[in-house]
Amino acid sequence: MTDPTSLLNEINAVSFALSDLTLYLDTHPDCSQGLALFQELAPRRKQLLEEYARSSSPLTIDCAAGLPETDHFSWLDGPMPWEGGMF
Amino acid sequence: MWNYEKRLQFPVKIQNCSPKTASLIISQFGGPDGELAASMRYLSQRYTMPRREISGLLTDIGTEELAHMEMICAMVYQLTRNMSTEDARAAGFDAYYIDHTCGLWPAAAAGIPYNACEFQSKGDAITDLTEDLAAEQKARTTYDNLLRLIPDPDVKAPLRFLRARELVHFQRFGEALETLKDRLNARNYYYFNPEFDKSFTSSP
Repeated sequence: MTDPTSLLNEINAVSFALSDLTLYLDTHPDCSQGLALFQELAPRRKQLLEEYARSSSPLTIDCAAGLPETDHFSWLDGPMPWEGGMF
Repeated sequence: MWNYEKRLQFPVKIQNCSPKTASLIISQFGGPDGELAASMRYLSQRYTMPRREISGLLTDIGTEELAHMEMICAMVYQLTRNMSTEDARAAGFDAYYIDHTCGLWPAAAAGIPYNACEFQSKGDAITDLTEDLAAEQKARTTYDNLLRLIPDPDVKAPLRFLRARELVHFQRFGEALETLKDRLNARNYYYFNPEFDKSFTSSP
């Protein structure tokens, strides 16, 4: 299993690439190269977020909803991002 | 609507307590060119923006600015979380401490409270996009000033990231403004408000 820090770093990197690309596509909506990169990165981000939810804690409410049912609300698990303990 | 994602856009992990540094960085939370003003500016302007790709861009950049505000607040929080009253006094953070303890409250470095007059939503696409270009440059200057004054590498890394984002947003707003001008009615030589004077909105 990948360690949580490097998995989170990878989530940050892929998510950053996607959000920067989103701004680019907002002003270049017909760029085929940009669209191809979007198609490549978006599923990768989804997969990494699901992996992090299973191995550490869910980062989105959809990730929490995707985890097996338990008697504990998993959305509260994990540090808050401003605490500096995630990296 | 918005959904929260429980991570920062770029990691903030600061080891050393420094209320002095916090008192400078807080300007990018509640100061005149800070991230709170940036997000409120774009998220307010977008409703009446006449072209969908530009209102989309304002939504996406405005959303990213909320994430930047969170990074700045994380930095202020980490710089003050283990602060003693003596630290606060020595750093000149005592006046802030009296009213807010270590709580986050939007203000400029010189102590002026956040005010919606920091930004405009003028209801004129040309005016608003020109303001947005200036806003990104003003924020970039503030990050340059912070980077000159602050020596701690833990603080500099996220500041450099935020500075680079101002450049990208400036670029995207520049493209949006050019797109808008290209598609104005050909008779609108003087850029009359394309939001209000509908006859000037677009050429066929």
